Formats: sequence, C-alpha cells, structure tokens
Amino acid sequence: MLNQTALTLANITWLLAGMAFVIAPHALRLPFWVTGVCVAAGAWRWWIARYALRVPPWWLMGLIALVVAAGARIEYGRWFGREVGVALLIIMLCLKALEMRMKRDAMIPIFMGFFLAITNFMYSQTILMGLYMFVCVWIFVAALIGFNRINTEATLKQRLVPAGWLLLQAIPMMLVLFFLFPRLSGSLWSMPQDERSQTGLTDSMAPGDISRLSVSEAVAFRVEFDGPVPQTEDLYWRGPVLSEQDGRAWRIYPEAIRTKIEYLPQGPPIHYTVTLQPHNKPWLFALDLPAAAPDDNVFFLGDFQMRARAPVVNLKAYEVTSHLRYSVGTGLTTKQLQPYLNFDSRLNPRAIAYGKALREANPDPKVLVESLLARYNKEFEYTLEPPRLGANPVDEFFFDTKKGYCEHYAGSFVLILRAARIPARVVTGYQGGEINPITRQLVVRQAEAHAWSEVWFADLGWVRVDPTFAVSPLRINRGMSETFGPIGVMNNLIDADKLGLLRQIAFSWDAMNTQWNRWVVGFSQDRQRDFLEGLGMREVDWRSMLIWLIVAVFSTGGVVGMFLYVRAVQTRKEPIVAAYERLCVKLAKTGIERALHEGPLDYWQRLQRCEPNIAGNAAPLFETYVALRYATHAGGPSHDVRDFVNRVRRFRVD
Amino acid sequence: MLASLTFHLRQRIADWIFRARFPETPPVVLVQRRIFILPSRTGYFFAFVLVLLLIASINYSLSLGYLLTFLLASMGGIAMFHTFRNLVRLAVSPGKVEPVFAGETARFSIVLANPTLPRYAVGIKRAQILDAEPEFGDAEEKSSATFQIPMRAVKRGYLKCGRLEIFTEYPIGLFHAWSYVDFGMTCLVYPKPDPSAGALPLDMRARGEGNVPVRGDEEFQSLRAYRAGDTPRQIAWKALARGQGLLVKEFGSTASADLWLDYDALHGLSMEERLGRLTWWVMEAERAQMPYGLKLFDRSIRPMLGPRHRDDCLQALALYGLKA
Repeated sequence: MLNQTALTLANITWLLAGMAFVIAPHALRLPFWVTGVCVAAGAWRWWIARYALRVPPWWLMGLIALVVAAGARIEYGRWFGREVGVALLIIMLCLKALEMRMKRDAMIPIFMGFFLAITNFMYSQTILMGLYMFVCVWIFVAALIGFNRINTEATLKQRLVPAGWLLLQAIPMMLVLFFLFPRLSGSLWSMPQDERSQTGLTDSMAPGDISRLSVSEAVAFRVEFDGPVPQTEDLYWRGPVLSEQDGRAWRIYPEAIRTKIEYLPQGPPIHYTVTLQPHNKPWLFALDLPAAAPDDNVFFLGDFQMRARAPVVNLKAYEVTSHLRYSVGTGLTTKQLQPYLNFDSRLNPRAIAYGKALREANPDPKVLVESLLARYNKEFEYTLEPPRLGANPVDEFFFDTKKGYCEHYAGSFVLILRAARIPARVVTGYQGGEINPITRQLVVRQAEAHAWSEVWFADLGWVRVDPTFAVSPLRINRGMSETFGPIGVMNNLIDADKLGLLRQIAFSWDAMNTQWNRWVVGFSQDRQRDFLEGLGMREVDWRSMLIWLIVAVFSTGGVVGMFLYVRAVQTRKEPIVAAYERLCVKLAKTGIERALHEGPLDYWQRLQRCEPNIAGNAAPLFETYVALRYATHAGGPSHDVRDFVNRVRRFRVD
Repeated sequence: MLASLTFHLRQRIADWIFRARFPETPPVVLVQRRIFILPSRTGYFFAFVLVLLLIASINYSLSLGYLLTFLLASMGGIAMFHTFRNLVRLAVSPGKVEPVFAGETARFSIVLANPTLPRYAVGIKRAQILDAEPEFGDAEEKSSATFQIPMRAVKRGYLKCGRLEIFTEYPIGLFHAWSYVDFGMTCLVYPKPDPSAGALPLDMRARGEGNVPVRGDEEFQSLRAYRAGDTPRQIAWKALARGQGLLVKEFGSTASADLWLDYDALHGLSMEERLGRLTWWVMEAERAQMPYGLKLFDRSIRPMLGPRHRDDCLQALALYGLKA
C-alpha cells in the first residue's frame, strides 16, 4: 500500500520531536514513571521506524494501556480532573504514536498534540510559553506536511518553510477571530479543582513562610494609579488578615466576619487598577484601606479583607478606591473584640508573662505599644535568614535569638499585645513595589510579601503598627530590593550592570508583559466589550458581533487567498528577459520605441539609423543579450546574466 | 455504502458539468473554474478537534487557548488556498500509450506541465471506477511530471482510459481538491497469445499462393491481374499510371518457403481461440526470424518480417471483427 510509505523514519522523527516538545513542560509535573512510559514508547516507535519492524500487536497495546491507566488511577486517586486528565492524554498520545500503521493513524497524534499544547496554557500563559507553543505547532505542521508528501521525502526546508508560511498567513485571520469571537465569562461546567502549589501568601503564617517568598522574583500583581503613586512607606497592600493563633501559626479567623464596620475616610481617595496574577486563592489585594468593592463578584470581610467569590485562577484586573488615612472600628464592643484577644496559652510562657508584666507597668495602651516598639528597635536585628526556632518560637525569638523577618516581628508583637489585653491582629500582604519607568506601573513581586499588625485603641479604632519598621525603617521607606540588595539571579545581574542597560531591558520586558496581559491573557468579556465599543460598534450583542466576525473573517481570508492565488498563477519572467525589457523602456525615452514584433537586432538597427550615439552605447548590451538569450545553451552562465542585469541598471540614455 | 453513494453522486455531477465536452483537446490547463475543493475526511476530523479545543479554552478561560484554536482554525482555512494552489494552472496532456496484450496492464501516460511554483503529491486516478488506485508524483518548479495510469487490459481491441481525476490534498491533507480531464485516450490491446497453438505451422507454407516476396531483397518477376485480397503495396502503380490497368507485381521464386498464418486453416475453434493462436504464431515467427504473412477473412498481409510488420499483423488481429 502507498500509505505505508508515509511512515518513514524522517516523518516519524518529526512527529516524535513535536510530541517531545509539547510534553516537555508537563514532564516536570508528571510522575516520573509517566515520563518514563512516554520516553520508552517514543524510543520504541523510533526503533520500529528505523529498522522497519512491526508495530506491537493490538493485545499487547491494550495490555499496556490498561496497566498504565490503572497506574494513573492509583497515582492520582481519581479519573477526572486536570492533572489526571493531562497525564492520561499524554499516555494516550504516546501509545497512539506507538501503534501507528498508516498515514491516517499519524493524524491522531498530531491533533492530540495540538490539544496538549492547550493544556500547557492551564499552567502558564506567559509570552515565552506562547512562543514556545507556537514552535511546537510549527513542528507539528511541518510533520503534517511531511506525511502528506507521497512517494518522495520532504527536506528540512520543504517542511519548515511551507509550515511557517501557513502559520504566518493564518495570523491575520487568527487576530480577527481572537478579538471578535464572542467571549463567555465563566466555565461551561465546573471542573474539580486540583491542588496547585503557587508562590504567594497562604491562609496561615508560620515562621519561615514569608521569608521563603523573599527570594521569588515572580510578579504578584501590577498596579496602575489614576493619579500620582503614593510614597513607598504608604504602599501597604492588604491581603489575608490572620486573627487566630494556633500553636506556631497564625490563621484566618474561620468564621468570616461580615458585619459592617464603620469606615470614616480621612484623606483624599486614591483610584487605581490592580492586575492580579492567578494565585488560586480567593483573596485580592488592595491598598490599605480599600473603601468599596469593585463589582458584585468581590466582597469585604469585617476585617477589610477583599475577597473574590471564586479562587483567582486566571489573570484578574479590578479597579479599587482606597484611602490612606482612615478611622475604622472605633465603636466595637467587647464581644466583637474578643477574637482579637485569644491566644494559645500553652505555648510561649515567657512571652505571655512578659506581656502581662508590660500591662501592669503601662496602663495606657499607647504607651505600652511605644515601649514595646522601642524594645524591638533597640535589641533586634532584621535578617532574611533567621535562626531555626523550636517548640516555643516566640519565646526563643523574643528572648534568645532576636533575629528575624517580618513574620517574626508581627507574630511576636501581636501575641505580646494580646497577653497584655490589647486587641491586635496580624495582617499579611505586600509592602512597596517597583515603578516601571516605561509603563509607569507599579510592579509588586512575591519578594515584597510582608506581615504587619493592627492594634485596636478605644479612641482610634484599628491602627496599623508595623514592628518591622521599628527594627528596619529602611525596609519600609525604600522597599525590599533597595534594602537588601538584589533578589535572585536576575537582580544580581542587574546590580552588576553599571550602565543600567539590563535594567532597561528588564523594564521593557515588563512593559511587554503588561501589554500581553492586557491584550491577550486578560482579554475578557468586559475588555472585548470596551474594545468593540472603541472600534465603533454601537450595540455589542451576539448578533452584531457575529455579523462583524463573519464579515471580517471572510474579508481577511479573501485578501490572503487572493494574494496566494496571484502568486500561484503568475509566471515570473526570466531575469534576463526582464532586464532586456527594462533596457527597452530606457531606450524608449529617445522617442524610438520597440515595436512588439521587433527582435533585438531589428530594433537596434532602427535605433542606429535615428540615434547613432545612443545605439553605439547600447550596442554591447544588445550583443550580450543576443548571445545570452539565443545562444545554443539557453540561459547562459548565471554570473553572466547577473552581470547583464547590473549593466542594464547602470545604463543611461543621456 | 456511503462511499459508493457519494462516488456515484460525484460521477453524476461530473457527467452533468462536462456534458458533451469530452474528449478535450490537449493540453488542458486546470483553470480555477475546473477545480473542485471540499474538506477531506481528515479535514472534518480536524474541525472536530478544533471544537474540542474551543470548548477547553472557554471552560478554562484560556486566552492563549483561544489564540491557539484560532491560529489552527485560520491555518485550516488558509490550507484550502494552498491545496487549490497545488493544482491550479497545471497543464495536462496525454502521453504515449504502448499497445499491450490482453491480460497485461495497459499504461496511459499523462504529462503534467507546471509553469509556476513546485507541486507535490499530485495524484491521478481513473474517475469512473470506485476505489481506483491513484498514481502520485511531484512536479518541480517550471518542469513537468509524467504519470503512468495502469489499467488491466482484459479484452482485445481498443481499451478506453475514460475520465481521469487529478487531485491533491497537499500540504496538510485537510482539503481534497480535484479536477476531471478526458482526452478520449485509448490503448490498443492485442489478443492474448495462446501457447497451445504450439510450434509454427510450417505445413501451411505450401498452401500459400506464392505471390509475395519472402525477403526484403525483392526479385521482381512478372505482372498479373489484380485479385481481391491483394494489398496496395503489391499493386504496380507505375503500370496503372501508364494506363495498363490494375496489375499486381509478382515476386520471388521461393514461394514454397512462405509461411502463411491462415485464420481459416484453424478449423473447429472459436474466433477468439483462433486469434489467440495466430497471435502466438506471429510472436513465434518474429522470434525465429521467419517471414510470415497473415490471412484473415477480410484481408491478408503479405509475408514479411520486422517490428512494423508484426505490429500491423497484431493490430489486424486485435481489431478483427470489431467495429472500427
């Protein structure tokens, strides 16, 4: 059968290469044995193609499929869900590739490869991932072209060039579809959520949790201010509020408090837009203290935590208004304050005793807080690498090691205040941020994660007190990276770069990411509506969108199609003929035009009679043309032709 | 079932489109309006995969998923132009067709001349039979490719090639573009040589009338009056021109050595059996380099040798009793 010839070694190698490229980003997440099965199946398939062996019989394939599927069931504990779905898809792809017998069978792995490319976007939608998947698709299309050549083998160029053209020519129509295809918000059906480890704040804080983030350069969110950017020391990005102490850790108060608390703004409002990177958690970040929820899908807890109704799994942009000066919670009752006074009395006996003693020495809570802060200021040292702590972490930190990171300060501070019968709580979030001079956006990274505290005073309500500020004011005034120097490898490089070139590149790259987020990753239903209204669509509804879409798709398709058709049917003139025609156009300026029936010699003779000088100049060109064109070996050596073309270009009538 | 249904439907449509236009004068240029294009089975499968990709993108709100889905969808659309482009402007002309014996495979050559960009994986098959085996080839830029369409020759006479389908699915197999041509090409099929004829019938020599030369070095002897069955070559045209009437030249004295393969001499056999044996003998005599003549009911070919003579005889046998 002819079909057999399609499964040549080269074609199989291309297909396997495409598969390897598309599976590679998943390989790190997959259990090692799944990766092993894939590599084995690929190697086996290559071996079969290399030595023209038979593919494994159906019963063996079935057996392998059953065993591997059972393995996946045991590994993941379920059949449905993203992780197990991707693993099963990858296994199916590899086994399908293994048992290909004819050309038609090769289409299935290629199409499954396209699907696998999409599953990679569930984990990352960065520019780099987008480019990488474009390369994967390119390889698959190149493989597809190879499979569709019959009887002859496509060369590397004959695969990559047409595949590249196909994809490039598809881009205009792709953009039209991307911007005009009606977007839906939300899912068609709910999928079981998978556990995903993502860098970012969690719902609890134990010593070491935040310092672990301090090395991460990952962007947490970007902020665009409507007005000027506030001072760095005011940039407290409020996140999870941790009110419950549970042994070593601080946790979110489980009974979400939804009671309305009086909020009196005492300063001008600040408007800004936050573009939050997906962190798979429901909380959102806003400048201390947010005043109003941006939309119905966002609500506030009683402690001014801003929450989305569902975990943020996609890039999310929201507009917020905050006031930097405010008064909140002045009229709280003892009952309402009780949760902020509880602590685990079994641990940290020394710290608790210290707190009680402090209260006896300072009856005024404000004086007490001042003296405690003064102690932090005098005796403590701020470090990213604090010593390890044992069973009574606050005791050991506060009395022995005296070295720590923001979570140590906030945690111990709140515990001691509670022991002194002063309501207090831990607030986690981010502090600071870096301005990108190109986009004027504030970029907040995971390294800027921070923990501080809020203390309740009867006359002031809740007041933000940051014990870290007492220890290391620089951390707050200048921000993280300026205080501690470079974060991670990238910033090490930037720091070594005296000319600031790398910093420029880093900022440009970040600016590109912002545009990418705005126009690609974050192109939601709302964005689409704004975009289409901006284009002049009066009513953005399904019908008009569909009409626009159809018209635009067909017109772009038509333009690309016409271009292809014209290129297909036009026969390019041989260079020598084209050059001769240019020569005749130049000579026509003398008033003696070449008649259509005239051969080169007749024309030259006529020219000779009327314009002997010009004819004399042109004579060698005519000679060469006749020699090249009408010589026995047509065409002539290519360098002669090139020489002729150049001489015609230099020829002047005057 | 479905395949055969669509096949017949397509035949009807092609019949209707090309009514009374065949056979065509070569070369036929595959211009735009001659080319049909529809998604292939792979193309429909690809569309199904695109729907799955779109559902996954919507459900997981993957913007890059949308982007990839639309890239692939657009590529599929663009591929239609490329598939069409792989066929358009090809100039199709019929090539030489060598005669064959019944039972052998006739090969109809078709030449595709490509005036523009290279074409790959162009297939040609006979359009009027279901599941015809196609022949594939490439035509490089500004060159041509020759295809040999095989067809089993069952019966002697003229074998008709019929309508041909020129098609392609290159570059990515999502679309099937095709066009029909029909040059009214035929292949001459000689009767199947029947080995049961045995050795050459040398006893038939004597029965020859001895009025034709044995070898090329003709020895002219005399003239005699024309009789029915004499070939034009034997007629003395000069004598006719001189007004001496229709005379026939008589040659050589070796008349007794002439081998005459006589249809009538094979008694008790059917026509096809006789023709088969005569064919066998023609080939045998040619192989033995023994001059032979052929005598059929309505014509006779005087004894001679050589490929042209053999082909004349074989053609006479092939077409014996058939309408021209």
